[in-house]
Amino acid sequence: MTGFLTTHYAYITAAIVVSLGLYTLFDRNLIKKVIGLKLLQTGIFLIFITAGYRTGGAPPVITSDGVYVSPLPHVLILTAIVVGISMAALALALVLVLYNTYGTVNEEKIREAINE
Amino acid sequence: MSVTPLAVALVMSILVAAVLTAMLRDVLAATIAFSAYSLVLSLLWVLLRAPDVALTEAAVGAGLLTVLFVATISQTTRRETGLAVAVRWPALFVMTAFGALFARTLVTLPPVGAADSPVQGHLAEFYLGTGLTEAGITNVVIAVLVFYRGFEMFGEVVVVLAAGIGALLVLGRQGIGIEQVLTRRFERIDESTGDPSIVATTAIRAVTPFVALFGLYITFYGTKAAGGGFQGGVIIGAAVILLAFGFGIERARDWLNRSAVTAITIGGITAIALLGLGSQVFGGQFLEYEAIPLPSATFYGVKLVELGICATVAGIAILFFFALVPQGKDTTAKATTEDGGECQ
Repeated sequence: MTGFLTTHYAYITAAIVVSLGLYTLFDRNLIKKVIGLKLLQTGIFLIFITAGYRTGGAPPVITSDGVYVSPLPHVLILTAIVVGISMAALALALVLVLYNTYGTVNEEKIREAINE
Repeated sequence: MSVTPLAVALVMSILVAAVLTAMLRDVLAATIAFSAYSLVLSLLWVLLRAPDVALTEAAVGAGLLTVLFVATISQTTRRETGLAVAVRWPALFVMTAFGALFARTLVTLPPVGAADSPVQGHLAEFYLGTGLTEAGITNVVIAVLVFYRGFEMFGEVVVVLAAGIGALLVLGRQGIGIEQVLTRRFERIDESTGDPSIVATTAIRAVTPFVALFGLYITFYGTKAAGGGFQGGVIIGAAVILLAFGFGIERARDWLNRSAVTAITIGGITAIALLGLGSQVFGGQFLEYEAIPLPSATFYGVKLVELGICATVAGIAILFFFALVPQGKDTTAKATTEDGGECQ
C-alpha cells in the first residue's frame, strides 16, 4: 500500500480534487457551482499532466538528445485552461444577469420565481 | 515522481486549499482559497516538468479568474441566505461513488513517471523526435500547438472569441453592450473613495510597461522556452486590468479605445485564419507554413500565429474584465432625457 502511495500520490490528489469539485457542483449557490466546476476541471488537468510525466525527463524544450516528458498532455491542457476560463467568464456573466433579474444567486429561489 | 519533501508539501497544500474551496460558505473566501489552490497547483506542474501549463495556470487560474470572480461577487452577494448548511447527501453519494470508481481505475494505471506508460508511446516520440528544431522552434509544446495541431488551436481561439461574444450578448439583454463595456458613459463610481492612492498609481505607472513587455516576450519567446500566445495575451490583459485597479475602472474605460480593442481582438484571429487559408492556396494543409514560398516561412509563420493568439486572448481578457466589473450609475441616460433625448 505504501508503495502504491509513493508511485500514485499525484493521481490520488487529482481524484480527491475531482471528487471535491463534484461535491461543490451540488451547491445551491450559483457562484459556488462555477467554483466547483473549476475545481473539477483542474483536477482532471492534474491527471493529464501527471500521466505525461516521465522520471528523469526534462521539460519538452529540445536542447540535446535526452529524456523528455511527453508534450502532448501539455498541449491539450494548455488550451483546455484557456477555454476553461472563457467558459467560467460566460457562466459568471449568466449568474450576473440572473442576479439582476431575480435578486438572488440561490438556484432554488430562482426556480421558484420562474415557476410563479 | 519520487516522494520529495517539496512534492509532499505541495500536494498537502493543494488538498487543504481544495477542501477549503469546497467547504467555505462565503463565496469570496472560497474564491481566495481557489486562487491559492491554483497557484500551488501551478508549482506542482513545474515539478512535473510542465512549465508551459504552469505558466498558463498561474496567469489564468490564479490571476485573471480570481479577478473575474471578485468582480461578479462585488455585484451579487457573498453569503446567500436561506441555504442549508447541513451535508448535502446526494452530493456526498455522487462524490463517494465517483471516488470508488476512480480508486478502481487508479490501481490499473502505470506508476507515475514510468517510461513504458502508453502516454510515452510513439506519438510523444514522434513529436519529440521530429520537432521543428531546424526552423528554430525548440519548444515542442508550441510546435505541436501551432503546427501539428494548428487547426485545433484555431478552433480554440474561436471558442475564446465566441465566449467573449456570448458574454456580451448575455449582458446585452440588460442594455450593456460593447459600447457600455468599453466606453465611459457612467458617473465615476470610484469618486466616492476619493483620488486613487499615490503609492498605488506610482507603482503601477512604473510596473505596467514592463508587465506588457513581459507579455510580448512570453509570446515571441515561446518558441524557445516556456510561453506562448495564450499566456502572453493573458499577461497583457492583466497589464490593462492593473491600470484599471490603480487609476479607477471608469478612468480606464475612458482611456481604452473601443475600436482599437475590437480591432486587436478580431485582427488576431483573422491573421491566423488568413495565414491558414494562405498556406492552403499554395497547396499545403491549413497552417502548413513551409508551403508558403517565402524564406523562413515556418519561423515567421509561427511567430505571426503566436502574435495573433496573443492579440485575441488579450482583447477578450480585457472585455471579460470590463463586462463583469460594476457598471456604475448611468448618468448619460438622465442627461439625454433632459436634452430632449436626441443623443442616441
